[in-house]
Amino acid sequence: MAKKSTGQAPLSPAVLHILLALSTGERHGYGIMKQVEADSQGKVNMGPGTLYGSMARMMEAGLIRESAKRVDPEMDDERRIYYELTGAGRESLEAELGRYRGVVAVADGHVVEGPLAHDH
Amino acid sequence: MWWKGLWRMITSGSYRAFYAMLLRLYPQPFLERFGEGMGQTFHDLCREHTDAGRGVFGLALWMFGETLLGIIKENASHMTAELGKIAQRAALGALAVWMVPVVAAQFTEGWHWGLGGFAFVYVLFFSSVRL
Repeated sequence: MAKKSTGQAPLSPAVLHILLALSTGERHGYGIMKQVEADSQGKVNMGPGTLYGSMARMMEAGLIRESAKRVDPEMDDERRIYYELTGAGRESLEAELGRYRGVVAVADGHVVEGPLAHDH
Repeated sequence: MWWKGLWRMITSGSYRAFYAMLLRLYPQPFLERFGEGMGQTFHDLCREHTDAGRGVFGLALWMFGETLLGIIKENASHMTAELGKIAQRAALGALAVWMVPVVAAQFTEGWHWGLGGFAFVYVLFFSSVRL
């Protein structure tokens, strides 16, 4: 049975990257990995163990779900399971991005005020 | 010998078969749900490297290690969940057994334990079982 996510707790980097990768549409495991790699400009390399372990917990929390099993026309003729965001997943992503925006706004304020000036 | 077959599999480049063997170490429910997808993803990554003319050995080694960590993590959380369920059943079973003296005390003269006493002893008993 899926547990309800509170959407309040900060997300782990892996979960955030997976949510971001799925925010533009449904993807299979390899597609998610490639999207995470592209989004992070090659800085995040997620292996299958991390990816599917995180996805298992995200499915349990109701953030993502399986959408379909079908062939990817850009790949071989093997059928793949696709995953997509749920409403709770989208809300959770928006809440996390809002939190990040808040932190960046505070950091920007500090830069404008000139934190180094206080050192003298 | 099984290890000779394993070594032949590794050296001959049958990484996917070896990876499938590794995946069997996941808890059964996890394997049933994600095993196929993980095997496909592993194969896709290996093929991407091969197509780019790069060697697969280093990538496969990294993925085996990374997956092994995942296996340990999933088994640990699976065992914790199972232990939790066992403890819950044990608590319910003990409670059911405990009801016998609780009910008997109502009909037996000279038994001075109240309900609070029974509850206290039950908590002590169950705490000692869990420890």
